[in-house]
Amino acid sequence: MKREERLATDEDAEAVSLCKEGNVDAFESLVGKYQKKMFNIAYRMIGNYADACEIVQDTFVSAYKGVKNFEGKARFSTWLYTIVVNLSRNRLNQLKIQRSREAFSIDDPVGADDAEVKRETASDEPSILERLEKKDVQQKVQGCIDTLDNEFKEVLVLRDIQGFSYDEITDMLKIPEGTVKSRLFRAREALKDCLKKVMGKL
Amino acid sequence: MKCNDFQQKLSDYIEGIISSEEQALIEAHLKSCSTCNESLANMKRTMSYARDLDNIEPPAWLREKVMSRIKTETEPKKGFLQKLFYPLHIKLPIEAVAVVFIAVTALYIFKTIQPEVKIAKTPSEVKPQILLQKKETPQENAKSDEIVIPSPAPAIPMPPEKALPPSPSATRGPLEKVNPLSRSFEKAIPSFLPLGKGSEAGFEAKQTIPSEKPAVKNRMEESPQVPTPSQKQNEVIPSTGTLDKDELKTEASSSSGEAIVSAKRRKSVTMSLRVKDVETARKEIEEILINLDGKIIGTQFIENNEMLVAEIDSQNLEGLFANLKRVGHVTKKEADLREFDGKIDLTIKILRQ
Repeated sequence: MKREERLATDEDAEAVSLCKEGNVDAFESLVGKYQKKMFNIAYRMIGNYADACEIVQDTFVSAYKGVKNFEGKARFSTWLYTIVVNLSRNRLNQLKIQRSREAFSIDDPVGADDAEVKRETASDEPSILERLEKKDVQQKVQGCIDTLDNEFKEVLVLRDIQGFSYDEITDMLKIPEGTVKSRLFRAREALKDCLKKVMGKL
Repeated sequence: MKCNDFQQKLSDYIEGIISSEEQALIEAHLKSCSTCNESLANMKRTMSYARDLDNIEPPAWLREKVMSRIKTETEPKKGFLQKLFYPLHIKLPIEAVAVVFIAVTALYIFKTIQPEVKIAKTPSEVKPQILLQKKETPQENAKSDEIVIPSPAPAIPMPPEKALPPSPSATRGPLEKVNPLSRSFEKAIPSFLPLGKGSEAGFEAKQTIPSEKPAVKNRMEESPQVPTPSQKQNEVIPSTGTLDKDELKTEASSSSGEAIVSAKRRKSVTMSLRVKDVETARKEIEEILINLDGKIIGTQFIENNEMLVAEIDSQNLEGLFANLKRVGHVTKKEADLREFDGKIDLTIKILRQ
């Protein structure tokens, strides 16, 4: 999709222009619309529920402050995702420094915050065992994602988990498509190896 | 196609973003290679694990929290501006600026009006003792001698410096280091000492002082060689001392070079006047001086004799003389000044007849 087309099809254009005029209600509607996706990007990147909440708040606050400078070169949603990815990346770097200072063990159980995770697809009412099993698998997957380097984590979260197009990822991360592809390949390989180790089989 | 090539294309193949020729090659390879088949299966499963990760529901309060933060974090901008313009909040910077402003203004005013304030008459009794503790070094003496040479002191019956006994009593204050000129005058002190007794010679010597360097009188006051130190300091000299100190402050702050120049430039005239009533005579002389565009620097009262230090233009000197003759008997003790042009330091001693 070309930029011009995207611009024309930005469904949020109206709300964004209202936001630029200082309309808080318009912004609130955008928060309601995007908070879940934002939260999931942040959560998958950071792997921590509380941190993800904070990142999403920070993202919206800085988006509100910066919406006046939003030029519409990309879609508003893409712009928002860019912010959340950047803030998540910053937080990860902070945590990395913190961990190295505190000699925090990376072997500590991951996804401990998943206690709050709710199942969405409860349509076929799986047994408790199944649910526990699925939860266990998801925790392991998240644990493996957490071990990836930031640059691989980003593309994996955006492409394989959130399903963004290569174009969108290119816009968000400001890297060429070839780089996205190669990082994605290495990210998947690394995830595969990790899952093999963690689960014994795939 | 080799397995390695396939591994490279694996990701793209799963996503279906390769050319149809490549796709055909890969599919042909997959039919014959079980390893690559397994790799493909593993990769697909890995990707499905990632894809199947549940979307997590953000906490219900997230939206409200975001909005409340937006309200508190964006509104304070106005609040901040209000605070900035709220008088109490900028009190400190204003105070700081005000203090600096007042200090500068005060200094300026002080410097501007200082000459008029010179006629202070408070005796200072503390300084002599403090100054006594400091000793003069011979090096300083030599140095000051050198500096003094270029300054012509025509009217001063200055005693030859070498004749002066190097007395330990010649004390110095810290200010003298700034002003070497004053040191040289200090050596004249012993000859001034009889001053307190009202000796005429001493008076003359003293009267010349302002023309050269007022600080000298200060020394005299501080010198312990004054026969009856406590009495003299309290009764006679203090007025001179304080007067001089005021001048000392201004001149010491300027460079010593300047002081030398001014000493060179200035001439002084000393005269004594014998009158019946000292007080009336002084008033008359003051009037005359003012009429002749002179400037009265100070007056002192020493043992029934009035001493008036003034500044006058040399052109008006003759007029002054004529006028003074009407007041009393004038004795002029001064060399010829006709060739001299400019301001003259004038010391008039009014003696009771």
